[in-house]
Amino acid sequence: MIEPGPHTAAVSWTRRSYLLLAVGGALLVAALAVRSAVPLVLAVPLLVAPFVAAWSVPGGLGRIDLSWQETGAGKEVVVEGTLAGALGRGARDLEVTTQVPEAFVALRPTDYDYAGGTVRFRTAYAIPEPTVVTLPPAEVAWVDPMGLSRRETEGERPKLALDRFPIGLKGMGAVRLDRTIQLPGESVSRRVGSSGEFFTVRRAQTGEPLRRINWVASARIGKLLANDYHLDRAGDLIVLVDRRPSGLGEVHDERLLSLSKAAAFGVADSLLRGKIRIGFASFGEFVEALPLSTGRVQRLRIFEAINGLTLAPVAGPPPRCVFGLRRYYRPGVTTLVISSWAGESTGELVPYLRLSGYPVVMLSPSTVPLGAGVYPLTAGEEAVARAIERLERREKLAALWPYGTVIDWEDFWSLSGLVHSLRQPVHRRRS
Amino acid sequence: MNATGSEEGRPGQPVGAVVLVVAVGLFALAGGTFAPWSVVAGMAGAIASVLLRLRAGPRPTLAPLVPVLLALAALSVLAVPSGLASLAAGGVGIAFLLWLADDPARRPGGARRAGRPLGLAALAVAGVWTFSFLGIRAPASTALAVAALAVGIVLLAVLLGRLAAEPSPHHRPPPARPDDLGLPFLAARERRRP
Repeated sequence: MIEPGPHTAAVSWTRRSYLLLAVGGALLVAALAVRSAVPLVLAVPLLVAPFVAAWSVPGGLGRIDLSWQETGAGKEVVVEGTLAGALGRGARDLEVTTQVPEAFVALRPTDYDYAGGTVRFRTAYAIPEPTVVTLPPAEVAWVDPMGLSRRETEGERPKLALDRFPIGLKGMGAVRLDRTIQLPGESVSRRVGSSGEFFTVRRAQTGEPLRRINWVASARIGKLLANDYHLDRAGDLIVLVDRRPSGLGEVHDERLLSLSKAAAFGVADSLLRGKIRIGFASFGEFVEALPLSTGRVQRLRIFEAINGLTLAPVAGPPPRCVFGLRRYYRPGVTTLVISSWAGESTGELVPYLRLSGYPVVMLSPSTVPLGAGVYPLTAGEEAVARAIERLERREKLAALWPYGTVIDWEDFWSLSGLVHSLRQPVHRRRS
Repeated sequence: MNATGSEEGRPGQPVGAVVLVVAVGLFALAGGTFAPWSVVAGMAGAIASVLLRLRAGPRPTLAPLVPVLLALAALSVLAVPSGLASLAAGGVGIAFLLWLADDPARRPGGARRAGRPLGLAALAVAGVWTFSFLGIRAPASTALAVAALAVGIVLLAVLLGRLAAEPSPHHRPPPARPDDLGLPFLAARERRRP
């Protein structure tokens, strides 16, 4: 490696350089062994090229800032961005390296475009399943045309948040959920929809639209108050993700957790658009929870919480989950439990929740697609194996049917079963 | 200015690949040992490398380089020593570097942008070939040439290290930012600025 000077980043050799040097060295030894000048002359370009490539770093390369965003839809993730700053003469050999999850499949080489002293880049990936992930800051480096040496550049490198969840959740619309906290003056209505029936007056929040401010009431009270409508108070929902190990193995558990995270964020995002208060909790060894709230800030909080979820090393006992939840949420809030129910202990969680007064809707990412293609089976044998697996899974999930709606999620790009279930009108309990 | 336009050549033109395959074939012929077999083996190695790189996708890997390097190493060791064979060996080395620069996974025009490094490598090849052709006829003195080349490369490395350690006269350090100065309120104000 060439030593860096003051104010310059290090120029380093790539693995390709080391390969050329190794082959060149071997050729030198061979030249001595066979006493021939032919391997010697062949070794010369292989040995000289890494040095010459490291020497040819263009001038004017300085601080380069990166800005990027994700613009794809569905199963295609398109990352677009701009490099701006001191690009120098090496602008054409700048490369952006993004660390993406292994499941991402690059669809084509990154496309670079020069315009007005900036470099725009665009790359696309195909993703097999819904996901919620934050890409780490990309590396921007100058790489010589032969790919032998590389120099990192400095500058702003933001992270990129990426979320892909089943498309059907976007159009979920209004759903009927139980309310937890009855406000003074609240009247029970079975109606949900787009009509904005006046409900109550409440304290205005930061960034409240002006047309929502109740100016007369504000003048009377001396504080800024806003109108609240029936539509705004559609109900509350807790999204609970079970991140305990199931016994299927770490690889399958990680994959199921990734799907659970995508579904949880999709449901939370869609319902938060409908002004529903969402609480988010995860249960591994202990409960980690976000209180019920709504709005964009809550969406961001939930995204951060979901993004940070990892598989718990130890499974906590189900009663601990219920005690933890009761610290954050009053019983009676509809709870969406997302779990694979693949292990023995995971099945016990729902009865405890139900006995503690939480109405549950259960969403279970299926383990059936995970087994596809693992064993060398013919198409017919594969179909039979999947059918047997489905029957076994159905029997396992049947034990949960008395406690609430169970949605077996096998087509990971569709959650129509869950949407249908949440949109069913709930018959209110008589008090 | 668009790098993907016609200015630097269309992407996917297999110039470097064709040059490499032809150069390997000529080198095998110039080597003069087992001519038909060595030509086929050498060109097969080159074609395997070209195909592997086409299939490798956008991420650069070492695997495509291995078949052609193995073929070249075998051909060079088996070649009958002669001035023509040495010249062909140098030529195929340069062709190999040209093929590296003409990577379809990277921006087109790499071979043109790599002109200066390729020229310097060709100069080094010319120097060593002249030295070997004119000065070293006796096979025993190949050791002398190897030693001279090794010393030359070490000197080159030391020289480059010094060049990299000295700041360029055209280099200007980046302006100080409020974060660097430890002034968080200034940094916050700068972030708020549109």
